[in-house]
Amino acid sequence: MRVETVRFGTLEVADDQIFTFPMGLLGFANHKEFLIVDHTHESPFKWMQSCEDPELAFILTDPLFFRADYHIAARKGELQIIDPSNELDLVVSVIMTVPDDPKDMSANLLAPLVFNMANRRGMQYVLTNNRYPVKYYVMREKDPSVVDPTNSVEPRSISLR
Amino acid sequence: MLTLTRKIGESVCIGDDIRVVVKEVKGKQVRLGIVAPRDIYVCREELYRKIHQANIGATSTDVNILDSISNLFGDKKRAKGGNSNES
Repeated sequence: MRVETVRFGTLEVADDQIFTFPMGLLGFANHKEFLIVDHTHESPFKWMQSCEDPELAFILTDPLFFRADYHIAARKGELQIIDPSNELDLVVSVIMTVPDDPKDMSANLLAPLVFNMANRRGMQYVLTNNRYPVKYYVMREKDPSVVDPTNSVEPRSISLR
Repeated sequence: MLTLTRKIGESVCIGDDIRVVVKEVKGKQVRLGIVAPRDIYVCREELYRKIHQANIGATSTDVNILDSISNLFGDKKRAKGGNSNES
């Protein structure tokens, strides 16, 4: 599949590199297909590029990168559109907003993206418990929890209930 | 705006797929039940607007900005062992 982008030119990508968002994103209901592009190998950030609009791209990152305690407990039914049969297939990313001064960048912890890596479907999951802000200023907040490097259990940012 | 009067237990249909039921009326509060296809977002308006606005605000980014924010995080990343998980 050929994806036109203003940032990276024309990309030739395999169909299995595409993620389908059956609901789109809030405000972008008509954008159903996105490509996820690593920024660099070392960078914790990724681009999520619309396959339908060359100009539309979001910056994503793993919320655990700056909030090691970030966790959402979703009901299976709420994620039905991405068919979450196995919790371990689910991966959570958050959308970054980067203003002119990058130090003011924020992460949307209120409405994370949930991906099912098994079927490459994604959705924006809206948290209703108000536990996390829509703008989490990652450079200003102190990470409330410290990641223990000796902890062999990979922290999971999502569980099904 | 179309305005309809309904009793408790009665519904309004929006197209073939969406039904809004009046469940309960208590003083100034109304509880609504919503039946809609799974590929439609249903949430309170304030929340919807907040997230809608955040999504739109998140799109205006040029390609170089990622270099600058990645650099801001360089030290932290190394401290965490530098493993990058999928997505």
